[in-house]
Amino acid sequence: MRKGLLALLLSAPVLASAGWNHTGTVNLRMDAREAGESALLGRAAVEASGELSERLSLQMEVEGNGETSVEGASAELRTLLLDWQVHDAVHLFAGWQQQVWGRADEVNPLDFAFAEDTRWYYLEPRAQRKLARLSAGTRIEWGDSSLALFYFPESSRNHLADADSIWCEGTCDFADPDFQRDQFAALGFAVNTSKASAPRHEWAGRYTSRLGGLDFGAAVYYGTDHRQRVERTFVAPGVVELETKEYQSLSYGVDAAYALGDVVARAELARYQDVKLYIDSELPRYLADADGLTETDATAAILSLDYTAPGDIYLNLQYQDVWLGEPEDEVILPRELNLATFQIAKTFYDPDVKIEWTTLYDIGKEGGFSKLEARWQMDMQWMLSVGCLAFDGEDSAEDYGAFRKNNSVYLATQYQF
Amino acid sequence: MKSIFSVLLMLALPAAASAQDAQALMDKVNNRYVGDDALSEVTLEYTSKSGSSKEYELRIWNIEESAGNKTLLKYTAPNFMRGSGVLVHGEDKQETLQWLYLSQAAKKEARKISSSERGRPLFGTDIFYVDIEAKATEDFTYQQLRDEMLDGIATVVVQAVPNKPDYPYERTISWVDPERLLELKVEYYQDGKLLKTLIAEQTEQIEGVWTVTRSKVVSAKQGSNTVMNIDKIDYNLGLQVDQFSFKALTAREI
Repeated sequence: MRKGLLALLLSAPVLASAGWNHTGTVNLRMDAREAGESALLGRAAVEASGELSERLSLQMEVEGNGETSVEGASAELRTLLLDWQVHDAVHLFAGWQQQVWGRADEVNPLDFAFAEDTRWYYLEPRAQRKLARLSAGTRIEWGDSSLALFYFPESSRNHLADADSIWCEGTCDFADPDFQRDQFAALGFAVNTSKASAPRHEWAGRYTSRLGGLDFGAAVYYGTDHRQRVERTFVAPGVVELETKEYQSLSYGVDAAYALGDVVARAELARYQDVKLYIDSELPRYLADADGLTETDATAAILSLDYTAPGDIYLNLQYQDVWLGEPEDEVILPRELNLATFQIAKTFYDPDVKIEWTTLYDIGKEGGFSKLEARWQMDMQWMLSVGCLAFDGEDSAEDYGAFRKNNSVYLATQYQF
Repeated sequence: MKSIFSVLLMLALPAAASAQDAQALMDKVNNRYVGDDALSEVTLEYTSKSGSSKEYELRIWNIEESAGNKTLLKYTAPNFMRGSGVLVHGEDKQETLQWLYLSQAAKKEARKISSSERGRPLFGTDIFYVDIEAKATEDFTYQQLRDEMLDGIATVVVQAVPNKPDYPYERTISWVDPERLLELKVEYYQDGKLLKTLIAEQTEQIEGVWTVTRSKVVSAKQGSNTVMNIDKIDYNLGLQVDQFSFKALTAREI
C-alpha cells in the first residue's frame, strides 16, 4: 500500500510532463458464483515510462484492485525501475519490478524468481499475477543474446488470499498460518504464532539467446521459496507454536522454442533443490511428524505445442511432469504438478471477437478446471467479455474440487487508454 | 503422331517462354533496389465492414543483406500498443523467422511465430504477418497471364503459385509495372476464392527509389479494408544488422 501511494504520487508529475509515455487499463468484472454469492472485482492500472536523460530511463506501473466481498481494496506497486545505460550493451537497473520467466503458457517451471498474487489464480494471466520485487542488477545485451543478473536485498513470498474469502475458504495453500491455526484450534490446541524472517541476500540470473531457428535460455535463482512454510512445534501438552518460515533454495533450468513448420514447440526444464513440502495432510500422520515438513529435490519439465489451423483457429497443448526426489514421507503436492493443458481459440474479425476455451487437467489429482470466454473488442478502447469458470475433482484441500463453489459465470469490461 | 507432337510442342513453347519471362520479371521485382536500408513512419487505418475504424502508427526498419533481409516493425500509437512489434529475419533466403512482442504483456520476451500463424492478420488489420516478409523468387512458380492497362499504365499480369505448402496464399495475381518494377495491384487467393486485393494508390520516387507511399488492402472475405500510408521514409541511413535484434524488438523506447 505504501509503495503504491508513492508510485501514484510520483506518477502524477511524470504523466503531466512532455515526452513521457503512459498507458492504462480499467477492468470491472461481475462474478455470479455457484456458492450463491456474487462479487464485483475491479482493477485499474497505470503504466508510464520515459527518459530522464539520454541514458537514464524510468518505468513505473501502479495498480489498484478490489473486491466487494472480503478482500477489500488495495494499491500495489508493480514497477518502479530506474535503468541506466552505462554502455551500448550494458545497463544497470535498480528498483521494483516483476517478470515472468519461461516460454510455456501460464505453467512455467522456470518462473521461480518472482512471487505471485494467488488471489487471482485462474482469474488473471500469470503475468498479471506477478508481484513486484526490489532488485538491483545489470543487463548485458549483444546481438540476439541477453544476460540479466539480479540481486534481491530482501525476500519475497506469494500473496495468499484471506482464508475466509469466498475464493479461498478452506482451500488455500497449507502454508497459510490462519488455515493451520484454525485446524489446530478446532482440535482444542492453544496456538501461538510467530513469523521468522531474516534479511536475505538472494540473487538470480536469466540468459536468453538464439541459434538459427532455435530460441533458448537458462535461468538460476538462489533465494526464498515463495511458498512460505508454517513450521510447528509442540511446546507443551495442548500447546502448539506455529512459525511461518521462509526457506531458501537453489533453482535452475533451461528453456527453448523452435518452429517446426506449422507447429512451434516450446519447452522448459527446471530443477529445484531442497524444497520443503508438507507431509500428508491426514492429521494423525501430520501430528506424528516432528515439524510437519519434509525436504526433497524436484525436477519439472513442460512441453508446449502451438498450432494455428486454417480459419484463425489457435491450438495449444501442453504437458508437464514433475519428479520428486525421495521424500521421507508422503507429501502434500502443491498445485500445478503432473498436468496437461489444452487451449483452443477462434478469432473473428468483424465484429472483433475471440472465443477461447482453456482446460487444465491435473493427472495426479484427477481434477482441474475449464474456462470458456468470449471477448468482444468493441473499439480501440473498450472490450466486453463474458465467460464461465468450472472446477472439478476431489473436494479435499489442495484439490481442484474444493474450488467448485467458485464455479461462476462472469461479465467483464475493460477500458484501455 | 509426329504432327500431334509438333502441335503440342508449339502450344507448350509459348507457355514455357511466358513462365521464363514471368520468372525473370518477378526476380527483378523481388530484388529491385530499395536502398541498403530504410526507416519509414507508417499509419495504418483499418475499417471494418460495419464502418468502425482503428488507426495505428508504426515505424518500420528494413535492411537488405546478403544473408537475408531483416525487418523490424514497432507500434508507436495508440499508447497501449506502443512498443509492440514484429521482428522478421530472412535466414539465407531459405527460411524466414518471425517473432512477436506485445508490450502490454508482462512477459517481456519475444514469442516465436509459426509458419501457419503468418497467415493471420497483423494486429487485427487486413495485412497478414507474411505480407511484411521479403519474397524469394525461388519460392514461387510464376506464369505470365496477359498484358493489361491499369489506370493508364501498361502492366504485365503475373500469377505466382507458392512452392512451399505452408504459404498462407494458394496463389496471387500481380499487376506489375515492368518499367518501375512495382506491383500496382495484387489479388490474393485462398481455397479457390479471392481473399483480398492490394492496390497501390500512390507512388513516388524518393531518393531515387520508387516507393508505394499509399496502398489499400480490401478484404473480399471480411468486407473490411486497411489503408497504409507511408508518412515519411528515409533510405540508406547506415542501419546496422544488430539493430534488428530481440533487444530492439523488446525495447520500451522507440
